[in-house]
Amino acid sequence: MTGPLSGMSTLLTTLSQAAHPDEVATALVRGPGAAYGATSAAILWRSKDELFVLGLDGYRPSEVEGFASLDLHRDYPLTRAFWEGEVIIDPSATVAEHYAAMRRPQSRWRSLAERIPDGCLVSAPIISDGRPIGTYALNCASVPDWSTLDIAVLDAISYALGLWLTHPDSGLPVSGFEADRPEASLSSRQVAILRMVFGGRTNTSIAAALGVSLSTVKQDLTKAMAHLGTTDRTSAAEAARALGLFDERREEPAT
Amino acid sequence: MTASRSATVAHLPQFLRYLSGLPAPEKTLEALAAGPLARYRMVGGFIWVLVDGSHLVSVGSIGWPMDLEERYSVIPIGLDLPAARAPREDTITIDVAEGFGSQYVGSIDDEYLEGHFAAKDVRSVVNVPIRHARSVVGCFGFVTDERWVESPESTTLLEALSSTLGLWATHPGSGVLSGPINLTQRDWSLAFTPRQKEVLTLAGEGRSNSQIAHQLHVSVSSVKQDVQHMMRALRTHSRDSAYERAQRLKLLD
Repeated sequence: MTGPLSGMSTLLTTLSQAAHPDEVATALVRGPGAAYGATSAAILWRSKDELFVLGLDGYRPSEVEGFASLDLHRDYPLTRAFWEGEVIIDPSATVAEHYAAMRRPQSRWRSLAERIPDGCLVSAPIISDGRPIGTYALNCASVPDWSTLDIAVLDAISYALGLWLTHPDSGLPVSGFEADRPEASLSSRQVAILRMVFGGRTNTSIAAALGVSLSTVKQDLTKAMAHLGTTDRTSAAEAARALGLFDERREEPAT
Repeated sequence: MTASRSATVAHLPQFLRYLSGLPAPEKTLEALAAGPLARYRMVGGFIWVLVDGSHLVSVGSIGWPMDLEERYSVIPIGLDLPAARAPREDTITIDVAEGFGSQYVGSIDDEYLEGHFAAKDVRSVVNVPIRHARSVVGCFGFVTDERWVESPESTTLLEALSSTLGLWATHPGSGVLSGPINLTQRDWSLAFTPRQKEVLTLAGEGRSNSQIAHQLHVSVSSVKQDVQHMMRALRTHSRDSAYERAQRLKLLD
């Protein structure tokens, strides 16, 4: 029986056995992935502004050579899944075309996509307590007729992996659950500050423009940097712009 | 068959989503009753954790009157009851409620339990060992007001719940089981020990293994082991890039 339930059971059993992340990736392929013709899987953990590769299964050596992490502020299916907190399914053909057209050749994804020409690449968040803390990838040789049930299974994997990643057994240095949790979202003043940072203004001039103290600006920036996972103000501003925060919120705080 | 299996699977994401917020045991039981076990008509349940390998201690229950809750708040593991047998023998037990008392003659609770089962129209008594890291850490017992029919699907579901509840119960955030439990030896961790951090820092400064061993007063082979462990954890084959990655991930602070 290779139904979604027994697949999930396989995965959950592996998760509860203090397994190496590579073994968890294998359980993803052989467990829930089996129903979708999965050939490879990856598990990535968000640390600051990177998605760090924890576990891999089924990739060719050439596809994973030097593959340690992804820059969270670049546009990949896996970074999108992280920021949007949702499952993203890309047909292989689209991925192959996309990366063939990119200036920096991303041969890794091209090779992967070309290897499963009639398949698809599933990118999904790993969620703990309602918040993405990593991502997983599942690469399938076929494109199933994704039903709501299938999407529900992919969601179930997101939460199961979240429970495991924040568990001490996963071997990560911090429990994601206990780690400092950033604010749920940025305040409109924080966004306004980031926008001015993006425009090249100094903290002093931002404070003057908004009619707040310099230390308030600094505090807001520190919180925003933590939220966006960056360690400097410029990258925080770039990340905010990449996320479309400047487009969505037009309202300025009262000055 | 397909439709019923879908019904069970469809509840899993919701249940796992809820569980990833690390709810209290009563809330977890409620979520089980409303979710994965809804179609099996779970009407009461207990979660016990195994303490000192000798006693099951209740961490939560739903659907029972207070006197029964109290009576089963501590169960010696040797007791002749399915709730003790399931974790003792690491096996799922399924009992018919009717005649439950006569099956467990001589156990403390023959008539007492039958009375309570009759009052709730209980038909089946199911006990599932809660497993984690290849050991039994507790027991999840529940009753249904429909006769439990064993099928590959129901067994798979119970196995999945056993592991899931194990992850939840041993998670520090749930506060159910505190302290380390008998974890199998793990050769992988990004949570480096202080000595490993020192070793990698020195390696990153270009010291040789023997220099590091000399400076930290440890053997060369333990330095080698530490470096191997960290290179594996950081998915790299060179000590320089292990150091560089560990620094970037802020694992050496």
